[in-house]
Amino acid sequence: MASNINNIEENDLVDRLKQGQEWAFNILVNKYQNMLLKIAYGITLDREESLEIVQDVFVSVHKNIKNFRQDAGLSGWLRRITINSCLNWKRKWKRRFRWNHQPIEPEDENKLLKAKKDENNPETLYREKQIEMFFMENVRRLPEKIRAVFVLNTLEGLSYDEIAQHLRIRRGTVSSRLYHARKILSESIID
Amino acid sequence: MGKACKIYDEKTISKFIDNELSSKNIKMVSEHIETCPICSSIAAKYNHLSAVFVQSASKQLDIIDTGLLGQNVFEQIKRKDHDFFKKVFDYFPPKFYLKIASVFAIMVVSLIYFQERIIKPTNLIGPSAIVNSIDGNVSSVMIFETEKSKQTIIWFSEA
Amino acid sequence: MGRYLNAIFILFVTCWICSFPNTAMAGNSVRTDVRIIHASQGQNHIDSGLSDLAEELGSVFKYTSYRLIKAESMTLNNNQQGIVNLPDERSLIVTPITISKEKIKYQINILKSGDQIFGTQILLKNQRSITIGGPKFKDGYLLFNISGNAL
Repeated sequence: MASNINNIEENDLVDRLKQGQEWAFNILVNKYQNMLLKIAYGITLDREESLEIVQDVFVSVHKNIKNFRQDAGLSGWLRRITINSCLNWKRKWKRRFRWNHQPIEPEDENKLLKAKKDENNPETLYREKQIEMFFMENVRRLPEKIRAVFVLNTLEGLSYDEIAQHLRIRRGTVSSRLYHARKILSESIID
Repeated sequence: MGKACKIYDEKTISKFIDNELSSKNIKMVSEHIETCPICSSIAAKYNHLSAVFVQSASKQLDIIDTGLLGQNVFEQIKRKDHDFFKKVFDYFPPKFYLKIASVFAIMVVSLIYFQERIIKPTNLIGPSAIVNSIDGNVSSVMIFETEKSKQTIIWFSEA
Repeated sequence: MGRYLNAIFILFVTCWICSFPNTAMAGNSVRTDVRIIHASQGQNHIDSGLSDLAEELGSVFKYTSYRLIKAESMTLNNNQQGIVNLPDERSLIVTPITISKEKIKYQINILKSGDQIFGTQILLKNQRSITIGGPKFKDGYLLFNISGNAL
């Protein structure tokens, strides 16, 4: 029932978007930006780039909404565009270049990034940050195709079939890649 | 593929925590994990990995102020709408224009490189041959040129 | 659609490049065409394959009849002899000595019964020809038209 309501709402939103109603586009951005940011960040591991990607996705949706077929779900469509943007070869090379020439944790100079608050004493905070950095470094080292599967499973909670559909791979491949990711990352976690 | 224990391997445990086994197998694995320290440790570790990743990612995402994101999107859309040339060039994908430009560049380069065959060659001007030397058992030799194409003619009389 | 576009693009580029003659850079061989012509003042006659040459030679000679006795086309490498047998125990030997895209240096020898009666070294412009004459033959003279096309 809930999903039916969601579908009706989604269809209504798409209809309004196709009519060019700007407030409908506002709703679209507010509703989906967090989801898309999660996916983009999970795959790129770069805040600025994920912002750029999500912005581009919304601009692209604004331009191409007339081509959207309502038999495919809107959230699925948005997710697919985001994933494709992240895995796009031009961005990959830009990313690789940036990673090789910049520190892993860049300075927070972007105006869209808020300042963090201190929650713990400096020593604990530092230690936690080190563990997290080490873990995220291992996540970064995962091949992007494997990381994409891991992200869609952990951050989005998608099933194997849904992940297979989004990435246009077989179900068995999803299972292997996820297992592979876990195997590599489990070595970075202290028991 | 590593073995978790003698009964189930790590890949099966991985599928189990994702609920991707058949309902019969889920029940069997679930009962096994309760009694097997190795499998339960692996399942716990895999779950912990996901939790750590979600936590780390959330921390990073919390820093992002999404309020301005929508504003930036609208600004970009407005810019694109006012950009006539962008509208024209957005009609076809960039790859199409790249291919057209490549074809044009290849045509220009090949025209320059092969221009000798296209523009009238300079070897059509002047006599067709230069005579370096003549010898033989001849009484006389004359060298002419034809009027039109300046073809060289050597005429000899045998001795 | 993208794949078809790629295929059309590759096909077009390949055809475009292949449409150019591949002789822009001269190699080590030259196509040498030799025409042996009998020129005389007999009845008006010009063999069909000689109309271009007859018109040219007409500005220099007063012959009324041009008959093609023999035509040979040879691909010769540097210093490779091309031999054309002529009537009356004669032979024509053409040897390219240097080959470039502008000029071909030929050594041309005419022999009778194995003895050289005429020899010349010429620098022939690429895709041009030279005519050498003329040993007496029947009621006229023999002309040798030699053209070179560096490959």
